[in-house]
Amino acid sequence: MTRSTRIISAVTIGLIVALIAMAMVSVYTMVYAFMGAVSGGESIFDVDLAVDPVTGDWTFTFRDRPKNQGLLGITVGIRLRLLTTRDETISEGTNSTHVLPGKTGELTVVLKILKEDVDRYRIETAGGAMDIEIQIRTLMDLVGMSLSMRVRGEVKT
Amino acid sequence: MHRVVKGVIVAILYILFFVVVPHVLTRMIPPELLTVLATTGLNVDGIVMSFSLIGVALAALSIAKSVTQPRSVTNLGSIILSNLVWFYLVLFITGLGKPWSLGMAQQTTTSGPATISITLDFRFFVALSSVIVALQMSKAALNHLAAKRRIG
Repeated sequence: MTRSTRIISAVTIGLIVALIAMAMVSVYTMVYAFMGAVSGGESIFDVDLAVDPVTGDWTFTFRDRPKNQGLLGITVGIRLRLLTTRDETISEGTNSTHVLPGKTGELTVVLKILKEDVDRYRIETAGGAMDIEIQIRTLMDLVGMSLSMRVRGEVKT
Repeated sequence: MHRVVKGVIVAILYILFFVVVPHVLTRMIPPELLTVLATTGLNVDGIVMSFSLIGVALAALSIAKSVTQPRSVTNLGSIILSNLVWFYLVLFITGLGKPWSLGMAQQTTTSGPATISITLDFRFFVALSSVIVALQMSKAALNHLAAKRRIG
């Protein structure tokens, strides 16, 4: 074996060990962080709906407290979109936060719907759909996983 | 240890790990879980079959590598192919059975009024693996050239 192949061997072994270690730690972190992000009791989020008595505009406030039970820091991102029955976007909002291992973060996403949109899309009677996307990234945001859901239903005021 | 004996032992280990173990493990999975996995589009039988093919390919390449001379083109070819099979395995695992997704796997399932989609982004590991494979192949080429030079 020549000197150059010996150097390549050493670098390769180092990279393989690093790859296996990083894969194990980041998968462990993502799985446990994901469980912490979606295990907030009965539902993922606490949701408040407030209707402005003067303007009649609706304000949805979604709150999540993601727990990081993993070994590395995570970035949790949430994207919410309210859709009509024809999949037109009524309102959308995003937010993200960095959570250190063993800590709990806080995320709030506010969606506003104008009174004219409530009337135009007949949200109270026709209902609509909601896109929820939860993204978790770790290992300096190099790897990640995301869960997207589209739920159809009615708004209960 | 003799090269051929070492190659045969490695081949047996590949068969055990990639053919026997996945078949035994799938028999231990409860049928209910298999039904749930099927709804997400994850084909467990297909994954086990792919693992078996990868195992057989790695075993055959290990034997080919051990029975050929280090200066031969067949030896170099089997080392390069075996590295490519390992890279395919990385793509297969990170793509959840879909290697062409290049580390960005997505599974979608519909349950009642909800459509749920899970995306895994392991492109960093795929990129790192490609660097490792390139280094391994360079090493094999350098060793091959050195062996030829010694004979020449």
